[in-house]
Order: sequence, then structure tokens, then C-alpha cells
Amino acid sequence: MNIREYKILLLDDENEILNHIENGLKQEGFYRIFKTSTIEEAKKTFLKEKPHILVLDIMLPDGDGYELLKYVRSSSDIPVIFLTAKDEDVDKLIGLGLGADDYITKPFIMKELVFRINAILRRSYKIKLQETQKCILGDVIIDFSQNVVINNDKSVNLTAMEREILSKLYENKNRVLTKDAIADAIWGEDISGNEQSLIMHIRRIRNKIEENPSEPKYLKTIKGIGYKLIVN
Amino acid sequence: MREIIKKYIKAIVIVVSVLMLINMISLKFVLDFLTQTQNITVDKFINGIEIKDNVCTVNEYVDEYCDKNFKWYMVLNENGEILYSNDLPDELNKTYTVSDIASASKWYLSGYSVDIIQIPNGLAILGNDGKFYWKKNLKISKNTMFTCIIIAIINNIIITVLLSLLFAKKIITKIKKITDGIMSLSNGEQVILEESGDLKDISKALNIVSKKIDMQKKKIQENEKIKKDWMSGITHDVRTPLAVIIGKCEELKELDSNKIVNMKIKTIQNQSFKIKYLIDDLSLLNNLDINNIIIKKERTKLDQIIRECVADIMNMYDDNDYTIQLESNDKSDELYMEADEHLLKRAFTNILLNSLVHNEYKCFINIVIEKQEEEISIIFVDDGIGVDNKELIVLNNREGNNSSLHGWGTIVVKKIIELHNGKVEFENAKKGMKVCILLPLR
Repeated sequence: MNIREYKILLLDDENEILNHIENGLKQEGFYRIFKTSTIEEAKKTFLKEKPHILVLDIMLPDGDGYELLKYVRSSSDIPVIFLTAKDEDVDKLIGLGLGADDYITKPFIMKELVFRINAILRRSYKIKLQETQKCILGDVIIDFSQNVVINNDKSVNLTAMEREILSKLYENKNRVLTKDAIADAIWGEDISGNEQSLIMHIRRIRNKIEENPSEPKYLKTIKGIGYKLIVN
Repeated sequence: MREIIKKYIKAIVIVVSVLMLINMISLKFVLDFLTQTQNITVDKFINGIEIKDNVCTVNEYVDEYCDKNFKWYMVLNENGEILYSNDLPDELNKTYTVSDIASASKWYLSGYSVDIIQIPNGLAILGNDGKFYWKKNLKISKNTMFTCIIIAIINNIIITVLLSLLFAKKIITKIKKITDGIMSLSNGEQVILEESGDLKDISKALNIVSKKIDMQKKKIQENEKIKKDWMSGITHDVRTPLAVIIGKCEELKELDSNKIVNMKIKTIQNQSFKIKYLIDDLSLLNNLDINNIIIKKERTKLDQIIRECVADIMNMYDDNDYTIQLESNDKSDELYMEADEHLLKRAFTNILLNSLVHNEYKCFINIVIEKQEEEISIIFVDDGIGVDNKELIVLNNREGNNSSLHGWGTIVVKKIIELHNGKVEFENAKKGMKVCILLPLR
């Protein structure tokens, strides 16, 4: 199933915010979005539609988001993101480990929320990059299904490591990805001890996808921080 | 407590011993004095009686003396015959044998207490009613006497100690209740003492103090709850409309690609985010003040969390011309410390945002992290407009309770770094502002 087909349940007592989030998600391509404004409604919709992810506000007219979380958790493990408006909520979430997968504080930037929903869906449902997904960088096409980079009809293979790194960067396209996150995804470890390795892989990838590897247009280095893949 | 009892008993033992000593010395002096007086009297007496050719003459002194102090008296010659007498009871009119004299000098003479005084050629016997003197016949060797005295002294001391301990215990029990009450009070516990007995006034006073402290504590807790709820309410109520504003701005940006309009919309959005940061900071400060925040310290990799903060910010502001980079001069990769990751990230984010917010369109920030002997140093430098020196002084010296409404973000940074036992200083760099943080490894 395409990630866009996953069902998303939203709960917030402010209609403006519900609509705002719905629009943002629709722009991303999601189309199975369910909006609710009370806990009762949300419980009913949860039972009826069986969504894949919940985005919950905390302060609601007929209770709080934690209530719904408990209700959901009694029968399901689906990922839950909280929209928090108070610092105490954040402390509660962090300190008590209530079983939420992530939280974002209001007010937030829509694309941040969309990015997180995507990331959590991918993580929770282990959705790999679609096999048919291709990434186009100018004249270069990266074909994840074939593990190749096609440059002017010339086809170059990607090693497993290179593919991993590239797909991670592509998942986070147009966003800075820290080298710690890359190391964690690729090797499951700290970046310590793996820095030189990573630098080497990046260099090789650049050789394959950049016109001028020493002045990369797509795979940028953020000095000391990480990398960013720029995709139009 | 024990020290006081010991000192008390020591004092009593000393007092009693000194008393006994003084008494014994006085007794000795008194005895000596009495003996001496007696001796003088006796000498005078002896000189006043003369026995010559079996006839006895007695002078005035002797007469007066015997009149004053005795009931009767007689003078015997060496054969035991009475040569002279005065008021002698009839039964005593006889000749005395050597055994009579010996017995009289030890015990009584026919029930009369007698003084026997040797005079040249004879003996004077002075008598009083029986039981005038106490006479006890006891011979004690010097050593025995000595031992008895020592035993008496030791016994006295033991009895003194025991008795004083007994009395001390009684007083201590009463006082202990009070001192226990005071200790409990100092530990923040409530104290209710029985208001009776000798120390009733003190007990009463302590009870009142305890009640007052309790009420004050409750008042403070109430106030803090009110403040906390108030703060929560405000922040929540502000965030919701802000979310709507920012949401609408985002929608507007999509609708109109007019550059000028977009800039204005961006400004509205940025200002709204400034309000959000302000609320975040106020709320955090509020929680830190009331010690409400659970600070969990865990092993944290500092350069990693800095990277995460930088990535988050760059992703949020990706259409601004912001360049942030990190330099680490540490080859060992051992930039770990025990810290609350959430709080430290807030602090670092605040520092970065502070630079960006003051240099809205274009900003370059360089971060250097370095491990020194006992601490880790993190220096943020931006290339922006910097801060004027007056501001710097305020920034570096201000306490969190300052009611000035400027730079809450930096107050949050200071508080968080202080919670990690670190130091933070704000300076002006050659161009722009510099923030130096030192975090101890222990």
C-alpha cells in the first residue's frame, strides 16, 4: 500500500486547525483524512475507520488527549502524535513515557508536521521507499528499484551502503540530516568511529551523481552537522 | 543532650566533693581549735589547785570554772582519798581504788559523766549529770581509719552520681520533648506538644510557631499552584490563535506568489513565531522556578544534540539565508556528560534563535565545541549586529527574577546552564555576538 493511502485521524477542538492540517496533508497526497473535535467523536471514528495514525490535541472539551491514548492503546499499537500547547504536557510526555510516538508544539509549521507524520508512518509500518520510486536530479536519475544511477544513458551501480545513504537522504529530501542520524540508520551506531567511512561513501556518491563532485549541487555538506539532498 | 547531662553530673559531683572537703577541713580546724582552747583551760585549772602536806587548796578561778561548767567536783590524793570536794553527791563519798579511777576514765562514774584531770600529787574529778557527753570507746588503727575515709568518699561520690542522674533524667525527659519538637520543626515537620507541666509556655510557643510555619507553607503552595495554572492558561490560550495565524499565513503563501505580499506574510509568520518562543520561554522559566520540572540527567552526547538543534532550525528556516556550522576540535569523540537532553536542547536552540531573530535575513553562526580538562566548552559566534555593551552587562549579571521584559530567551539559557552547574557568558565578537558556555564533566 502506498503511504499516501494510509488513514489519518485528527482530533482538535479548533476547526481552523483541523482544516489547516487537512489541507497540508492533502497537498502531500494523503486523501484519507478523518477530522474529529471531541473525544467521543474520535473514539467512534477510531472504531469505525481503523486509522493508521492519530494526531491528537491534548486539551479537549470532553477530556484530554491522554484519555484517548489510553483507550486506543488498550486495543492497538498504532502510532500517535500529540499536538501540545503547554510545557507541562511535554514534560508529562517525556517524563512519564506515555506511549506517544512524537509530539509537536503549537503553533507549528505544517510541513514539519507533515514530515513527521510521514516519518512515523514509515517507521511504524516499515514502509520502504517504493520500489518504483525514482529521484531526478537534473540530468541524473536515481533508480532505487534497480540500485543504479543513470547519467546520460550511462548506468552506474550503487553499492548497498550508497543506496541506503541515498534513500535516507531522499526520505529527508530538502532537509538537513545530521550525520548522527545517518550513522544510526546505516550502521545502527554512533557517528564516532564512522566519520571517515561516511565521508568516503558521500564522496563516492557525489562522484556518481554530481556533475562536479567537488562543487556539489544536490548533495550538500552542512559543515560539522550533516548533509542535505536538494530535490526540486 | 548527653554532653549536658555529663557536665551536669560532673558539676554536682564536684560541688558535693568540695563541700565534703570543706566540711572535713573545717571539722579538723574546729577540733584543733577546741582542743587548743581546752588545753589552755586545763592548764589554767591545774595551776589553780595545790596539794601540799595532804591538804588541798583551790583558787577562785577553779571555783568559778567548776561552778559554771560542772555539777560537783572533788580532788583526790595519790591514795585515792578525797582531799577536797564541792557539792559531792553522797554515794560518791568514798576512797577510790585504782580500778575505780580506770573505769571512771573510760566510762561513767556511778552514772555521772566525769572529766578527770591530773594535777601534781593528785587527781581532780569534775562531774556532770549522766549523758552530758557522748562517750564511745573505739580504737581504730590509722590504716583502718584511712581506708574508712576513702570508702566514705567513694560511696559519697557514687551516691551523688546516682541521685543526680535520677534527677537529671526527670528534667531531661521534659526538655527532650521540647528539643525534639524543635528538631522536627527544623526538618519541616509539624509539631504538636502537650501544653502542660513546667515548660508549658515553651511548648505553647512551639506549637504556635509550628502552626504558623504550616500555614505559610500552605499559602506558598497555593500561590504557586495559582501562578502555575495562570501561566498554563495563558500559554494555552495564546498558542491556539497563534497556530491559526501561522496556518493561515502558510495558506496565503500558497495562494499568492506575489513577492512583496509574500515578504509581508513571512514577516507576520516570523513575528508570530517570536511570540511562540516568548511563551515557550516564560512557561519554562515558570516551571523551573517552581521546581516543577523533572530534571532527568542521562549520558548525553553534546555534539550530537547540538547537531540536532541546528538541523531542526535549518529545516524550519530553510528559505532563509542561514548558515550554521559546527567545529569540533576534539579527536577523541568523548563529548559526553550527564545532562538533561531536553533542557540542553532548549538552551542551545534559544542561543541560535537569538542570533537568527536579530539578524533576520542573513546570518552565519559558527559553533566550536572543545573538551578541556574538567569541562566542555561550547562557543557560539554569529556575524550579526552584536549587542551594545550596556545590554551585555545586564545579560551577564541579570538574575532570573528581573521583571524586565527583554531577552527572556537568554534568561532561560542561563537558568538551564546553571542547573547543569555550568557557566555562560555573553560577549561581543569582532563582528557579532559571542556566547561562551562551560559545562563541567562532573
